[in-house]
Amino acid sequence: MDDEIGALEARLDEASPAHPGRHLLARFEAGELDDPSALAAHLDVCARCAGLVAEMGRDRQAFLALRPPATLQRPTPAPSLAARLRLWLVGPTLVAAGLAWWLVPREAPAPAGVRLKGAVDLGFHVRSDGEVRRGEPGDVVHPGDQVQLRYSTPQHRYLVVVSLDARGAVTPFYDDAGRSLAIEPGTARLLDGSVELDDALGPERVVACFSAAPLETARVVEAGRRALTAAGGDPRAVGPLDLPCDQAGFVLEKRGR
Amino acid sequence: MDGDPSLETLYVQYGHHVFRRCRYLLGSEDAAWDATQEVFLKAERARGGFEARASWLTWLQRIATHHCLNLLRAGKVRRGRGTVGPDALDAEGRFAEGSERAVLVRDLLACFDAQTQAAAVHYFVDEMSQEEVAAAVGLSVPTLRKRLRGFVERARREGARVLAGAAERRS
Repeated sequence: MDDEIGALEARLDEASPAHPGRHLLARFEAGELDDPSALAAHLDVCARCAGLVAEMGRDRQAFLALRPPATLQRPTPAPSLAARLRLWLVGPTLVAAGLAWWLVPREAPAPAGVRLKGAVDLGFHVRSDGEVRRGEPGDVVHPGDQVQLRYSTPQHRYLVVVSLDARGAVTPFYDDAGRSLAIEPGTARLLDGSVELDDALGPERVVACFSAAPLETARVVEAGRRALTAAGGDPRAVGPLDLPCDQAGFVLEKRGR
Repeated sequence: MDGDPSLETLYVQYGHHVFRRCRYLLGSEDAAWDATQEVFLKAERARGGFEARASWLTWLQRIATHHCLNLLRAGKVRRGRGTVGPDALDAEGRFAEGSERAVLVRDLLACFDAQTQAAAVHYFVDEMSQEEVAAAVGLSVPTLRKRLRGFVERARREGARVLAGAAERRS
């Protein structure tokens, strides 16, 4: 630790640093500098700084592949004066409607495992040969590649992900000790960790089951087996699993290297 | 970049810097992603306060740093143990935020007031100049030097104890 504190002290006492700071390099890489010529000249002769700038460029590409601009939330425009006026006018009606809602009999909240309405989505990124790319359904992958999953759901709180392969195996990808994994609703949320693909070649279907309450993983696996059998063992032909959950997924094509 | 870039242009140009700043301070991939979204929303709302000759990177880094430090102080996020997965951005040590110096600075932040926290991150991690940091956090350069000196002195006095506690929380 003394070395690190020494490094902090050295930075404090640095009169004229040998290298430009990382912030200046980042501004250069972003094309922000009005006159980049002096820094460009330094980069021509300094492998350390040139390497850092190149790395920042690769960093941007990797980041955008994982989290493209489409995943960025847009600000909600503030309601116009006319809209606010309309809200003010309909306000009393809404209050009356709310009171009526309390007075009329209604259905009980969704019990465990009941299907919730709302769009769900499952996407993925693949790391193959050290390169990370955004995956698309039907992508060719290889044994040993790592897959990280990305989900979207407006409201579900639990998730199990299984894979159905051409050998007839149904393998849990994501669960929590034999039950659904607790998740937060959201858009394009990455699941922690990654799955290393095994050596089963051919098509492989990855299915995510989103539910309001936890499901037993064994039940999902069993439903997967039934669906795979009904599809003649072809993961590409598998329909929705017979389970009380909303489902999303994709098919990969796994080939040897 | 033109004078009034769209939110998408800012994201493409600077999103990776903002995300790495958030992940460095919050220590969790999920929390960093949520924070990145919030930083860009804040930036969009505060766009009118951006000065035409200023740096978009400096401005966004300042918002991101301030936002994450606020989350930590308010206890809305507990610092995580780091990230996993095939994320090309995860290679420890490749970036300033992964260096041992940056980890030391991060673990010491809780001992200081908000202004000194932001100043330490901008100076020791971003490697901004003292003039840039002073402008970013609203201090004079002499006062900034005094604060940074105090940061290092406290690190010297209490660093071992603070780092041991941080390591225990992470394990």
